Amino acid sequence: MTKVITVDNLVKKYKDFYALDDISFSVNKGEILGFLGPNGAGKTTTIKSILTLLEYEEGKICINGLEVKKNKNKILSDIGAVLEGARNIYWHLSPEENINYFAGIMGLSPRKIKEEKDYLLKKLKLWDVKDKQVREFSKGMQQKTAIAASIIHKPTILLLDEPTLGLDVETKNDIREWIISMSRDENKTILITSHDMSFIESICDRILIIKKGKLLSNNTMSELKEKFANKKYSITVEGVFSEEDKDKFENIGEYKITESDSSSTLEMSLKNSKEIYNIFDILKLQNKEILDINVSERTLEDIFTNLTTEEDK
Amino acid sequence: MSYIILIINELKKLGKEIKRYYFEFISGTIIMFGIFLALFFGLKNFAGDSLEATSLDSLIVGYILWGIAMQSFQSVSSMIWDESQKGTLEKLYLSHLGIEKIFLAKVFASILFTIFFNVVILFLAMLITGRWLNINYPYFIFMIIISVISLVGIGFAGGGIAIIHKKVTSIFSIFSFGIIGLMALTTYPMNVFSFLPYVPGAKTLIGSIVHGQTYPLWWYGFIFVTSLVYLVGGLYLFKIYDRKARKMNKLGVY
Repeated sequence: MTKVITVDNLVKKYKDFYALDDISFSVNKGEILGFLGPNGAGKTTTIKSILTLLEYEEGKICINGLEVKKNKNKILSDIGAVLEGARNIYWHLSPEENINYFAGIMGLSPRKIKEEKDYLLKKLKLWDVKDKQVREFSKGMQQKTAIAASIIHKPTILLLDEPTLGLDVETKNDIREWIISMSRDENKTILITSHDMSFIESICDRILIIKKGKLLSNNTMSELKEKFANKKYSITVEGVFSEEDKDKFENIGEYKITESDSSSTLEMSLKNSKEIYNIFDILKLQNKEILDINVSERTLEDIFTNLTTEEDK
Repeated sequence: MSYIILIINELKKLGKEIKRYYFEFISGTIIMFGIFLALFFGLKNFAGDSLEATSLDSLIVGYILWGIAMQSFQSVSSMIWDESQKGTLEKLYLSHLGIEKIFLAKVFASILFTIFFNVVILFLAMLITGRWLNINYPYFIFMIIISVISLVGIGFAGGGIAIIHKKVTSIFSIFSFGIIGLMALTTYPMNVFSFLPYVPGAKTLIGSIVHGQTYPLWWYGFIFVTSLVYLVGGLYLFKIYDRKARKMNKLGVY
């Protein structure tokens, strides 16, 4: 596989604070890479470093084999980026005017981009509003305009920083479809950051998890699920658990108990499903009546929470 | 070629902005012209018959030159401030053509518009005051361009500061009044003040239009080269601040 983006031992610090602490990863051609992390983890810092908007202290970033620090202008011609925040575009201009303007910034005349512009306006469902001022739009429409303006020069690499932040379900789905088609049909390489776990889970080939500037995980979704294969059990019983029960649960693994007026729910993640019998034995001994049992696969959100809290410990 | 596309791009955007915010544009024009008329007739009435005709002519040309100077000097930093406010500054940095080229094109488009706008104001000023100056327009525009280049350079230096500190209006206020004072200095024949930005070109223009003076060719070359030195110096300072801003992650902050 061809590596399109390579980040090696990247360090970005502000005095004594490390925003990025020895980050290394790569993105292959046509791959969609998800970048997950809590606020302030270093996702945007990484994207800005790739885009040369930030100067880093140590490490190396290469795009198609070219080091970004030395080949800034060359590499930018092949990157389209939608940065975090709603104001990536001019609100007093229409989608069409925005696209024309940002094409001009890339040295392209409106005549040259007409076909691509029309295609994007239709593809992103902006055609009917192409002459309206962006300020009149919903957040979703503004985001779509920002996307169209960012890729008018037909880049092969897309960097999307929180593209679905604050968007409604319909727009999120539109953007999801568009991202998938960009990768599948046009073989574009996509790096995407988001807080939206289900969104990332549904579109990404590989996921990076970052916290406090450190890379915690770099795996495919199936690798992650395999690595954290334990299932989540939820058992609701009548009454409350005694302290003795809780001690026994602790010997099996981490647990969480939610108590209501007449019942209690025990939640546990078990690596070995046979361990459930140990829990049943404890409940049997106490003669607890089981009201409900629920078994679920761990979601990306569970894995993410697990990884990031483990790091805190 | 990319410069032409960039300049046309900026002129189109400017045109759309004027169309969309026509009230702001018209009111701004009326205020600028109103101030000029107040200055002109105020001076005429205060000084009465003792006022020389050339002083009024100097006022007309001087006011226009001051307007162009202010616009040119402030252009880069006000652009940076404006783009930061809109959140689009980082987007401009993502052009493979380079931010200096983008800003140069923006400034050039803005100066082209300013010159056109001020020539219209000049014409209106002559019409209302009844003082018709014998102006060679190609010479007028040529002189403004070679003089204004120096202010663009200073503007880039100010723009560099604006990337980090965003609002730098206090520096502009000092310069706005400072340049009026500097216009009183003698810049020709060659002396230490000849190396000032903009002033030698502006004074040469007033000398030619109002007093009918002539200058040797080398003098124009000198003005042009001095202006270029200011431009290169300004761009260099801009680059230093730009790098600092990238280190401090200040580009996206407003």
